[in-house]
Parts: sequence; structure tokens; C-alpha cells
Amino acid sequence: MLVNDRNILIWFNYLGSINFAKIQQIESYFGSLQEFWKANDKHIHTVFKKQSIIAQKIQKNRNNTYLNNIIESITNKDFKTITILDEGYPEKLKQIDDPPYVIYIKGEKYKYDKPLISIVGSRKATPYGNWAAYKFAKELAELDIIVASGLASGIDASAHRGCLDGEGFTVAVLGCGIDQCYPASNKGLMNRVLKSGVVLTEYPPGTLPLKHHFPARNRIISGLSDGIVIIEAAKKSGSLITAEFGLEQGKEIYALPGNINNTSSEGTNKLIKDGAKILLSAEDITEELSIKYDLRNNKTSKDKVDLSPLELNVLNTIKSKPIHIDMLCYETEMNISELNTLLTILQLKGYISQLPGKVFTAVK
Amino acid sequence: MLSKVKTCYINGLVAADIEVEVDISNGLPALNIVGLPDVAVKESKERVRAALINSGFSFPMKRITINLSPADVKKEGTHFDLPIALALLSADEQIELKEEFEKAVVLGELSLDGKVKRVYGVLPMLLEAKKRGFTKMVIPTENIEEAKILDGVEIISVDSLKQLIEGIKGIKKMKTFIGNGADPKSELNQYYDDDFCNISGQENLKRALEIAAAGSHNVLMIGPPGSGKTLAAKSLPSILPSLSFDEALEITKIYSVAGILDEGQGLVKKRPFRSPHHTSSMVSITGGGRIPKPGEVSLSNYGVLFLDETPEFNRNTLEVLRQPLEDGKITISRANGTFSYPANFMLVCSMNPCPCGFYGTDSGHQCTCSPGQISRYIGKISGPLLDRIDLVVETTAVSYGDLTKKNTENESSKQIRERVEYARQKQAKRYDSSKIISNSQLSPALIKTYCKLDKETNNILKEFFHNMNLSARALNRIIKVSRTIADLDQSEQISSKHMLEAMQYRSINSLFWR
Repeated sequence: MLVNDRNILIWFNYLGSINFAKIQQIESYFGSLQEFWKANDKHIHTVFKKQSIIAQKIQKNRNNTYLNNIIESITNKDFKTITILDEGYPEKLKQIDDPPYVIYIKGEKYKYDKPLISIVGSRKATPYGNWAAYKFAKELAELDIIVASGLASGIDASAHRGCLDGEGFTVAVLGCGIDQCYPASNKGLMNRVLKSGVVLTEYPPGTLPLKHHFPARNRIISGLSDGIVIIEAAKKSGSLITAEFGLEQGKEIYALPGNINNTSSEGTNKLIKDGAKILLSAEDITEELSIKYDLRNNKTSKDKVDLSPLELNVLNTIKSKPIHIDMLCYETEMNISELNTLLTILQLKGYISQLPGKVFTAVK
Repeated sequence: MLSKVKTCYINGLVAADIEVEVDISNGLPALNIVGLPDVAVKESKERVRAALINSGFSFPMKRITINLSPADVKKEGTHFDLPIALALLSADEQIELKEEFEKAVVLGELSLDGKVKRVYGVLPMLLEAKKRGFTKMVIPTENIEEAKILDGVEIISVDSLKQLIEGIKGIKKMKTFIGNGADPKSELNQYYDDDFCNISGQENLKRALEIAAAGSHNVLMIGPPGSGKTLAAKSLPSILPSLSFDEALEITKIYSVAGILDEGQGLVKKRPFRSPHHTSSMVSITGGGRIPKPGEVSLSNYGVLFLDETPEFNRNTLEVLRQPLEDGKITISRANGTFSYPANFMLVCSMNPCPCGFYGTDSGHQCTCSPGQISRYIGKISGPLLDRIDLVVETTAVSYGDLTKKNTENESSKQIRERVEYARQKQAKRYDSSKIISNSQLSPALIKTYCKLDKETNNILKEFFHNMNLSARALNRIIKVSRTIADLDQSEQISSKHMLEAMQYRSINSLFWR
């Protein structure tokens, strides 16, 4: 049967600008969604008294041909369409205000019962932010915790990368249709995510990444999670919206402290001041999570020292603080060509990473 | 009566000899120049007329025809004045040209009072004339230094028409001398304004430039304002190896044609350092014009072309660099013909990491650019252009503390240059049998022959390749740079430490060009 509740929900989703509360209102007014489908236009105007544009839209599109077209266009595609009425709908999302009643999902099998941490932050990330997002995502992934983010550039991308490099499962929530990629430069990353995670969105295929989609998208990121990590946020950042949603939804908020002079850490520092948990190491998160979940590190850590004394000397100097190559040169009293050689070795072995401006920082 | 005098013409850098024929016959007074003369050559008749009269000679009131033979090539320039005047006087039987003048070429512009003035392109013309068997060169005194470069020809320097004629008539002795060639190395220890000993700190940058100079690699410097990029680039010529005679000759030829040889300057002994402003047009970079003149790429032949603030350049201007970077020459086609100039330069680019200049720096300045702005700015340097740059080096502003803290002596340019010279000699020896002269010119095929890697080095390279998601091209660049580092290290074999160091000048890509 074509005109069932599920399909009508999808139809509503395609129509846009109607939230779940409104649908529930419609349901209670007409008795059921199918009654609504058959109802007289005059009743619809009663329900949408102050929203004549939406009422007109409903009037225009409330026919079986349009519904048919929609359903046909989303069947047998590389993504799945799940409504709030379906079995595979994530339980956690049902508990939030204004849940997305339809989600489109693509990728590997997503286990909803696993712990999930969202890592979000500014698109224009500093090296420190990128490093932290990557590091925490990787460490969480190694504990088999799912990492969710928004597949934007900056912190989001670093979080996804970290999780993927830690061989974990990652969830990317988009602010556009499932068939789009925004920003386009993250296409490669999106393909990686699809191999070891899922991409999901509440927007029907073909929806463009409009500005107002992103704050709305943030409520899903927050809704899916058991805790939200905010790596970097300026004073007015979208990440703070995510934190707000998280607070409303009763999630744990973790904020990474930053330099107080740094505008890109203003938001996170303020969050800490306002009572967010300060994030100093991954244990800060896992401590909380281990009450609810059974966390086990199933990946053997490869912690063996394979460094020469010279390499160790360089590494120790870098460990004290991120340092520019010239300063490193003076402090280790090495010649630059020798130093460059050692730095590449340490980089290849994964002990250090290079930041813009030829600054090196320890990773392990 | 008919009279002939030899001179030269120049087309791009290609010169050839020309015969100026003057015929004087009875008829209505007229003076015609034939043989495809350009405007400057046509105007020559007015200068010649005035110069003859003002030098105390008479101007024949007869029908005069001047032919520039071969008549089918276009001639331009002002150096035809003197040969025309000479042939005219001889045809009018006011003077008698002896047989020895058959083996002489005459060049020079006349002013109305009979003085002989400086002309452009003397060196390439004389070189060609010498090749074609001419033994006597008559040139303006002002061009004398250029002509001295020639070996074993008799050079007559002329101040004025009158002086030349008196010399021919035997009234006064002519100013002649025999060219003795010039040694470009004679001024090896010349003084450079910008020396590497003036650069404090910046060990990494200095090392990168040393490698670049040793292998003639193209360099890109990225860093915030005030991080010493421009100073370092300006000091670069002081560590470049000295010129060989042939190189110096080629540079001087180009300078001579472009008309930028200083008066009294002979052979160019310093490697050129050209730093065009970022408003430069495409044509000023490539060369061109109705009668094409060499552009910046040719003027920096065997030297450095420095593009400060590279992303500020017009995109088209940057893209035209691609072909000369690949071929070492540039071919310009215009209505007047096709001209080919050498363009064998080392490209040095500098840029900020973002439009405001402070992205990724830790200096207290906050970057105010949006992510879109940054990627647009960085994107100005296209992938293909970037592919031709072997070394990428990041610079950071030196703080006052760093400047004063260390007490080690900065190395002087002279010390660095010695190592560079050694590495270059090694390359010259190695590539004796192939067409190239430096490591930067190694083609993938030649890399296989000359850059054999041992097993350990190969493994490191493989690991790096997978770690950094490199392209095959980037891999070749790393090998080329490590070849140079090995040369600087006086090692025949590229070992793992050379390879590991080379990687430091490439790994930055992943940060800026995701």
C-alpha cells in the first residue's frame, strides 16, 4: 500500500519546513496521517491557520502521483531511508526535542548500542585544534567508541580522520542531501567515511547546503551522542549551538581549553567557565562513559621504543613544547641537515607531526 | 659609382652579416633605402645627411640608392647609420676604402653633429661576424667593453665620423686594439650587498637555499610577513656558482639585445637576479612587443627569477612560466617572425600562507581570513606550476630573543658558495655525456640512470610515499633533491640520510594543499 504513514512522513520531509511537533498536531487533529491525506482542503487551512504558504504547498502537492514519484526516486538507491516509525531508527534520536522524522543513511552497518562521542569545532581550525581533534578521535576510536561529526572542513575533518586512522567507526551528519558533498574538497574524506562508517542526513536527496541547515544539523549530531567534545569555537560559532542542544538534551559537554588570547578558543574557554567539563585527556571522557558502557581497548598498543639516542634527544626537546625547526637546531646543537633527517624519521614513525610554519609537535 | 660596406643585423639573438650597397647615379636628387628597412633604418638617411654635412663633407646632390642585402629580411635598429655614411662617401669618391675593409664590419649610430653613438646588440653581432670570418670590427667607443670580450679580432673604436674618415685617409692613427677575451672568474670574490652572514637564525631556510643553489632547483618560500623571505632571496645570487665563459657570454648577449648593459660594462660576471613586481604583464615576463625583446624569463637566464608575493601575480602571468621552466627557452611568435630566447632560470617564489599573512603562525597576530579566502589565495599557485617546484620551505619570523640568544657565527656566502661550486662540478662531470647540467633537469629516464637507490633508501621512500599520499611526480622531485644533497655531502651514492632530509622540503604540502 502506497499511502501509508511511513510514506506520508517522507512526503512531509520532501515538502520541508514542517517539524515533528506539527506532524503530531496534524495526527491528533485528523486522527491519523492517512485521514489527513484524504481530508478536505478546508481542514488543512484550519490546522495551518497562520502558515498559509505551507497550506498552499500541501494543497498543491497532496496527490498520489507526487507521492509515487518521491517513493520511486528513493527506492533501490545506494542509501537507505529510515523514518521514525521504522525499526532501524536510532533510539537516541527519539528522545530529543524535534527529532528528524526521516533520515537518509549510507555506508556500513551502524550499531546504535555502541557509545558515541561527537567532536565538533570551528571550520577555520588552528594547528592546535586540528591536532587535538585528531588525537582524541583516534584515542576514542581505539577504545571502540564511535566518533560523530559534521564532515565540514577544519575540526570536523580532523576528527573524522583521527577516527578513521584509529580504525574506528565514524558517523558524519550532513547539512545537505545525501548525494551532495559540502565542502567539495572533503569528497575524498567522505569516501573514506563510507568505508568505515556512515553518512546520514535529514535532508532529502538533492538538497543544497543552505546556511540554516547547519544549526539544525547540529541537533542531530548532539542527539546521537553520549557526550559532546568542543575542540575550538570562536565567540559566535556553530559549535556553541551544538553545545546548547547538548545541554537541552542532557548530554555531557567537554570543552578543550585554549590560549586565552586566541579568538578561536574564546568559545570553549567560556564553556568551561560556564561549567562544561574541561578536557585534558581522553580519560576525562571514558571515565564518564564507562559507567554506562563496557569499554575495552581491543587494539593492542604498539608501545615499544625503537628510537636511537639522537632521535630520543630530539623527541624529548619537542615534547616539552611545540618548537620551530630553527630553535630545535639551536637547542639540540645539531646541524640542520642532520636534524632534518631525524625529524623525517620521527615523523614516519609517528612520534611527531608537523604544523604550518615548520613547527613540530609531539603526538604520542 | 657603386660602393659596398659590411655590417650586421640582429633578429632576436640571431645575427647575420649585411651588405650595404650605395649607388650614386645622375638624375633628380633623391635618396632611397631599399631592402626591407624598418622605420629607424629609413630615418637613417636624415641623420646621415646632417652628420656628413656637419662633419665637413659634402652630400652628393644626385640620385642615391641604398640597398641592404640580402634584401628579403627585415632590418631594424640604428646601427646602419655609420656603414651607410661610409659607403656613401666611398661611392661619392670622397674617400677610398682599402681592400682590408672587405673583411670589416661597421656598426654605429650617427648623431646629427657626426658623433658616433652607442647601439644595442653589439656582442651577438660581432660574435656572429667573427664566426663568419670577419677580422676587423668598427664600433662606437661606447660599446668598447662589450667588444673586448672577443678574442683575436682587430677592433676599431670610433668617436665620430670625422675621426673614422681621418683614420681611413691615414691623417690620424685609428684607435685599434686586439680583443683578448675576458675571464668571468677574474672577479670571483666580488662584493654582494646581501650576504648570507647577514641573515640571523633561519637555519632551515638557509639550508634549503643552499640545496637549491647547488642543484639549480626551483624554490617556494611560505611564511608570514617579516620572516626573511625577501632578504634570503636577495642573498641567493651570492651563493650561486660563478659563471662559465659560455654562460657569461650568453647572458651578455641577451643583455646587449635588451639594451640593459651598463655603459662601460663588458662581460656580465654576476648571475642575474631579476625580481619583477607583481603587477608585471605577461609580455614583460615572456618577452614580446612588435619587435620582440627578451622578457624577464630570458633576462634571468642562468640566474634567479624571484617572484615576491607570488599569489598577487596575475594568474595568466604565472602560467606562462610553465613552458620555459620545462624547456629552458621561450619561443615567441609575432607577425614579424618567430624569436627564440634562452630561459634557463631558477625560479624562486615567496608567498604568505593566507591573504592577511598570519595563518598558522604563533606570533601573537591572529589570522582574520575565512577558510574560503585562504584556499582561494593558495589556489592561485596552480598544481602544474607547483609540480615544477622542487623545494618548499616554510619560514617563521625570528623573535628578538632568538636573534640575540645564539652566539654562533653566521656562515658567510663565500663558505656556502664553495660547497655549492663543488656540488655543481660534480654534476657537470656526471652529466658530461648527457645534455643536462644540473640535478634539477633530471628527467624520469635519467633519474633511473643517475639516482640509484639502495634497498634501505628505497624502503624509506616507499613508506613515505604511502604515508603522504604522494604523486609519482613528487617522488621524482624528492629523488632529485636528495641527489643534490648527496652531492653537497660529497657522496656518490644517495643514502637514506640524504633521502630523509630531502623529504623535509616536501612534506609541508599536506598542510597547505590538501
